[in-house]
Amino acid sequence: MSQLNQQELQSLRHIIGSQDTAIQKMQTYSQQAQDPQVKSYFQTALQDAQQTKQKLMSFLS
Amino acid sequence: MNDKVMINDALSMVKTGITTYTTAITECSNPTLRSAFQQIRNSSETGQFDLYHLAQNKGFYTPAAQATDNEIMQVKNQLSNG
Repeated sequence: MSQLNQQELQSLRHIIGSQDTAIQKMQTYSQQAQDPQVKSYFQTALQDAQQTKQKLMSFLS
Repeated sequence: MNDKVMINDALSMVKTGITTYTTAITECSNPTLRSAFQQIRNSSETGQFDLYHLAQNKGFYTPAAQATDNEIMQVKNQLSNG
């Protein structure tokens, strides 16, 4: 287990929760986008959001 | 939902995210976690500028108008008399 204080644990809880929302949105937006550049942005943003979540989850193990 | 709405929502999310990470960094003692937050914030800031340019190029976002020389001089004068 990581050495975390209460404040750090709450920051992780809050941020990872927001990251989950971002992942859901980027999935939907990448499917709905019409402009190719916009679609490409959301596809990349989706991958980034997923990687960020995994990185932060590692602090909870 | 059209592209403009989705891009502006993304801009808003990234802006909020950067603020959230900055707050978390200032409240963080664990050096490894603090460094991870800093890395994520830095890449978010870089990505935000790319997204901002995309939004501007597509006509989805209009930045504030340029300040005039007179307006800048007025503020400078106010702050110089303090």
